[in-house]
Amino acid sequence: MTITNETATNEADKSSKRGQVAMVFDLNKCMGCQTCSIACKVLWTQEQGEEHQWWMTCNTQPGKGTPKDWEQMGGGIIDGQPAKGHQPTRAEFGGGWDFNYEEVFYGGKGRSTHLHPIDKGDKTTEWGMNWDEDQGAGEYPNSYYFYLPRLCNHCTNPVCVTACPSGAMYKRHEDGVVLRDESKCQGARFCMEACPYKKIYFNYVRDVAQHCIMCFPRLEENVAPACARQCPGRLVFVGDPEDKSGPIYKLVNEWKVALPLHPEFGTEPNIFYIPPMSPYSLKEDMSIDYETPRIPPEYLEYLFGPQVHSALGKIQSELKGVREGNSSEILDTLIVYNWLDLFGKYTVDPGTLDRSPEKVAVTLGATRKN
Amino acid sequence: MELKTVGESPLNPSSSVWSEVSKEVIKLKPVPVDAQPNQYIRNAYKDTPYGNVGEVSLSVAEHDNQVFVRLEWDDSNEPNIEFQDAAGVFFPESGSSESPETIGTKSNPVRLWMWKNRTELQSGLSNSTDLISSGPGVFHPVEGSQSVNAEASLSNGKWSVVISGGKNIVEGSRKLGIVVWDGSNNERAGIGAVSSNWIEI
Amino acid sequence: MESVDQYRSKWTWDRTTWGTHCLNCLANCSYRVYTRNGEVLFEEQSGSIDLIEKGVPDLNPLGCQKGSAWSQQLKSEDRVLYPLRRTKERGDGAFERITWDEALDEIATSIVETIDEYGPESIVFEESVEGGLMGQLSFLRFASLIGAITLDAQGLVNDLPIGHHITFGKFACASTVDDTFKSDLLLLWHSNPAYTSIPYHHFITEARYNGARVVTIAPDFNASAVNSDFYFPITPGTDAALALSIAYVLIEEEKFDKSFVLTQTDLPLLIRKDTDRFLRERDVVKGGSEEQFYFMNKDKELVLAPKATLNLGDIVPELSAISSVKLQDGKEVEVETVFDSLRRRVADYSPEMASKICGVSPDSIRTLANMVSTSKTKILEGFNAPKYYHGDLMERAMCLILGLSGNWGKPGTGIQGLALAGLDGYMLFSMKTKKGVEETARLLDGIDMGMDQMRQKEPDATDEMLGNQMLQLSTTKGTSSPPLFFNYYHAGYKDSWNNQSWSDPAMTKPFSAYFDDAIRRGWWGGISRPQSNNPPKLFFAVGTNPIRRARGGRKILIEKLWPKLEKIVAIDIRMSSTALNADIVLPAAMQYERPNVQYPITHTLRVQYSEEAVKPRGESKTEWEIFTLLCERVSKIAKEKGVVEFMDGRRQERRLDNLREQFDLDGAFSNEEAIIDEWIRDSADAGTLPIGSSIETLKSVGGLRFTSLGMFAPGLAVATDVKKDKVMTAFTWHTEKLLPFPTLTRRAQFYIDHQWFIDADEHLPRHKENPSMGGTGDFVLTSGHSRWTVHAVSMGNKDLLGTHRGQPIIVMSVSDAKACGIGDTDEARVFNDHGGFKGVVRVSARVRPKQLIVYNGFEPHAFKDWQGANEVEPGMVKWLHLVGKYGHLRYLPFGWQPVPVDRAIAVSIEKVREEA
Repeated sequence: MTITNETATNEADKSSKRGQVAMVFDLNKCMGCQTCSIACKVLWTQEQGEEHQWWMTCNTQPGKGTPKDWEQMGGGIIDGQPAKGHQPTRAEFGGGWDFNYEEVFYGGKGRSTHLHPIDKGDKTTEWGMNWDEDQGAGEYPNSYYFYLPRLCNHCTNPVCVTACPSGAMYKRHEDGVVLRDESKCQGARFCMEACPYKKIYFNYVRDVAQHCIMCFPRLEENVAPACARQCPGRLVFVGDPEDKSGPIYKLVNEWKVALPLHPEFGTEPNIFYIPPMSPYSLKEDMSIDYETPRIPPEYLEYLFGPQVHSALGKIQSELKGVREGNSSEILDTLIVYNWLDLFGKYTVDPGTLDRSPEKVAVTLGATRKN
Repeated sequence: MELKTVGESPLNPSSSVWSEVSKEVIKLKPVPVDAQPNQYIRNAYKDTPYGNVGEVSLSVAEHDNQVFVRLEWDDSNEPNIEFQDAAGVFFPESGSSESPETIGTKSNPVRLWMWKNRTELQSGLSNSTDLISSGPGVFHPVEGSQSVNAEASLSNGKWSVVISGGKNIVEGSRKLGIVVWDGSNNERAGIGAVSSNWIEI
Repeated sequence: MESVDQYRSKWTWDRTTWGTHCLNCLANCSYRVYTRNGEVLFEEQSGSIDLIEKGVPDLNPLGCQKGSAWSQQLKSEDRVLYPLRRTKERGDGAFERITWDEALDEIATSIVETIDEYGPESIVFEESVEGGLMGQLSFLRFASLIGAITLDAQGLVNDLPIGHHITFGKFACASTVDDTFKSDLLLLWHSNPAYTSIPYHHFITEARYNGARVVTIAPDFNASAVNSDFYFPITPGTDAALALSIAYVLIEEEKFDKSFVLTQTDLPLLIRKDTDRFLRERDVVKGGSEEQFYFMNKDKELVLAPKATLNLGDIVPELSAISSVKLQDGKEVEVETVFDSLRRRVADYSPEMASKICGVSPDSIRTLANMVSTSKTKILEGFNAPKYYHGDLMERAMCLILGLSGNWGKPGTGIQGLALAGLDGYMLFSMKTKKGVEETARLLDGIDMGMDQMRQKEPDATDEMLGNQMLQLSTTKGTSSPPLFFNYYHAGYKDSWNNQSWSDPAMTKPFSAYFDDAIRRGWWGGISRPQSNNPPKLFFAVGTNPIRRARGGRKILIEKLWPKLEKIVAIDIRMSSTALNADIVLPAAMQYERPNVQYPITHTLRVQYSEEAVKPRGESKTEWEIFTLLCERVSKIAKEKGVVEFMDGRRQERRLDNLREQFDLDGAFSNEEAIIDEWIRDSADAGTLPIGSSIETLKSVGGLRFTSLGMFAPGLAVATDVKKDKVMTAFTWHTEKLLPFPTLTRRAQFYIDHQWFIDADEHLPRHKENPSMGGTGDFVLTSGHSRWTVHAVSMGNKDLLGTHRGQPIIVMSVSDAKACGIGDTDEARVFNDHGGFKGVVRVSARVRPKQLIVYNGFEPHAFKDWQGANEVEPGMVKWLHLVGKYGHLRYLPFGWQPVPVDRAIAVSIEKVREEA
């Protein structure tokens, strides 16, 4: 584990074991509903300057995603060296639209106008966080697509931390959450360039960068992050990747069915994915083609690396086994009979917590004194 | 340069007071890429041209224990929504013998008064900051400081910016360095143009 | 670190309340709403729903993006916050703010004057679920007090699986969603649960991991196909051919469940070959029953099919029995079983032949049939099929597959329908004359007695059948009317319906001739309101949005209906298209601003409480308060004008001078909490909620699971028991208790011997080509719900708008886009002989060539010229659904009735060229 920041100002307490929180997203359960995105947006990015910020997003793959064409923007760690990347622009993110409600409802213009996002000349109406939703690829009826939820990978090797000149960024010792001290952030955005996943946003009002905080205030209360806890598809596992009895360790290390996105980006993400199966394809005469996978394997390899073939093969063979009457610990784990089994130790119901502003302020004060 | 005391606050760059003060043209050059504070920036910018502003016209004045630094440079570039034009003037601690071209070092930080052009969205933000700089882009705000002010105007393809701060900062070494960032070229932090020599005042 | 404390401080609150949403999906999700300093900050599923059955995944967290963004909708810019009055022409987008007093005066005056001049049936309300049960209760109660017309919601929205009704006498094969987990084979057919069933979609993927095969049958490779095992692309509107072909394989390869077929279905019943009618007892025996049918046993003897039970006892009916029978008049006629006839019917649908129609390959059809015959099969149908002109045929054929394969009334089987049931306290409420348990006991005794009397009169009827009769009886007294007559006489659909080139060619005369015939025969007697001589004058849209929803668009409503209306009042949380075209707009309070419960549906079997977390914004008020105030104002003005007593259209006397006292029972129900408390207590008394439940229970746990589906028709229709620790499977009373179905033949009925059906060659399910509705364009417009909003409810929610393109899209295939020279984000015009609209094109690899998709949910005013996708929809209805008084084919509120369709409309598309 090498986190190098030559200008770091946040010295971690090294007396205790370094921790990490990780997630596994099961793409075979994801329906692209955006509840994760909304859960995050509603909770964290409602202020001015945050309109276009979606720390959690879900995109249709293949696609250009968010920001537009992010996979072509560089960054990451190549051959042990931080690699040059492009800072995604406001237009490349798009979104954050205002609409002309007032004009349509009260402007007295009748049908000469209609409701639409307002074009402010900054090209933000030409893209959005889910602009290529359900576009897909391939040729009908062998069209293919699937959904890919993405958030900050809270990488083991966070090149954003490396790239920050003002020492604002750090990886928390206790749980590996990558955070930014916004009072130190100078808005230089090298983090945005360096991050190969392009999951850092710029706040054009406050002149600071922002990104997913892994809901750390919730983690501190043993509550799962909002994206995971609100996911109706029950597909987001949260927990300690080194806990050998936990599902994340088993899925990632033991059964090797969960993989990081673009492992070649070199930052060692802590978000993993169960790769997607897809319906059988069809032959030209429309009969079922059991041989040719609908999603080209090379595309999956592009996303998840060469391990994807064995991971997918494993899921498929387990499924075949279950259909033949066998039991499968892997699939039983992925079924998640009890919803709370998704969340490791983070199973607290936030509704049971006393989080009054007064009480939290006192707690914060006490932390500061320490 | 002479730090001329003037009769009224010349914070406005169009103030008539400035006609009484002499100007000097200062050459700038890119902050050295090798001096950039981390491996990411050194790698990413080694082949990227930056430091677009080659020279500035400098004037300095003093009024009511405040120092006013006026910078003027040509800028006919299209503004960029991402990065804003900015400029800074910085002061070493007395006795420092290091070059200004890194805007301070870890062992010899400088005090940086920075002006940043603000967009409409940023109307709630101050256009000036009081910083400690210990390297290119290694800027840390001076907590609670409100002593730095700036005013700027862009006309006829020319920026005129006045940055002011407490005279006490200047009094130690009595020299300053200049840094200018061309926002249209995505310049910010250590990616900018800096004076290669200290300017004595 | 101190610097990130801002995020810790953000995640604080000083109060949590229970919440759920009125998004039209009725899922009864359990949310907690977090507030600070009197402002709603965010919400989150409570995740506190108890595990029901061990070994089956639980219901948590039950929610979706729309519910999780409701907090932001409170401040959305399309909210209406003050009473508004139009200042220019209708639809000019010009309103002035007025006071509540002014608004109430104006509306109350209109009500009194309309009653005085035209009678109360010139006042029309649309039924709606958007305001939850409190919204619905408020205006329905008001409307019924003044004798106004309320239009049956089902006839407006058409979520009516009419083929289920034809088959089962109901569409309540509505198991709880967790029953999905128990399936071996899930057919996602005419549904897109990844868009429309977000809270329960996980049961599909979890069932798959549990070994179930998941199959999507749809024209486009939709979002639900993504996580399926098989995707079978189908030509739009040809599903009956596919289903009948599966039936063909099951029958010809003898892969059907014979004992199930004999017990549950009408296939062993005899039909006369000379008339194509069932062989009835009165054909054979003098004085015999019109509704008694026959089997034939192996000795070629006629055996009366039992009516009171599906239990065959010692009877062993022959499935095939081609024979002859001597009638009472001595005439000898050929007979055969329905099965025999069906066998001939499906012979037209061998996989090879059906494949030519539906595009699914023969081997796929055989694969499907094999899977169906060996699996616990569930069809996860949405409400898409009935929106096709011949959706009834598709659904009847789909039900047939299940009947042949023995797939209902058992865990993991069935065809997903809908049942709004469980909250018996709500049903009792409208009968109450005072508050409290004694009144409840009186009512329950009365119902018991009434049922007993009916049972004695009809000993072979089930409670379900008697419940239906009670419901049908109430329709002749209540205010609810099927919208058929309003649409035909007043709203302007008559011309479209008479367009024979847009109709089924089997019609030998124009629609109007059938319509007149149906009226003359009394099939809609007592409910055909408002009459042609009773034009609507005052129109209320309370949380409904006909301008967006109604098939026909501006062409129908704005051009034909609107000019007849003297006043249009919209009561809504938001500026809907209808509000924008109204005269007066009143602001309604939203969820989180008032106590409410939503319609309970059996999908989750829950009732969820939603509390007042904050005060209503602006000057908005709850519907209960609005209609209480309106009661008082109407009484005042009625007294001033001397319009105190009058006779309504059903010859019932009404009084206007004490409306509020009638409305809230002399102040006993002056607020929502008191009403909801009564519902819950009475439901507990009626046995559908745990003993002792009250609003305090809801405040403590948020929601409750029903313990029974209750005594009223909608619950009885599900025909099953609720068990505490078991997933609920519909129709077990039919399969386990062998209770008969509420159909003419008391069996799942695939053969409809009504003469109109016979004339149309639809006495058995068959495939019919989709009429070319709207013209001869070579594209078909399918639509359906979007992922982003249910109807237009979320169209002012900026966060949700940010999750898509924020404006209406016309989705088309890659090959068509290329051929038409249209690129992604280009503007295009879709048009036919009915109308047209413009929109931005979305090119997608998922779409079938010659298919266009415009998801519903966008307001017409989000389209240029305010012409939305409904402009091209003529809103045709199928003439056969005018049939009444034939066994189970008779009007049921929220059930059997003709409803306008909108799928597979014929259109053309062209690129909009930049104007020079």
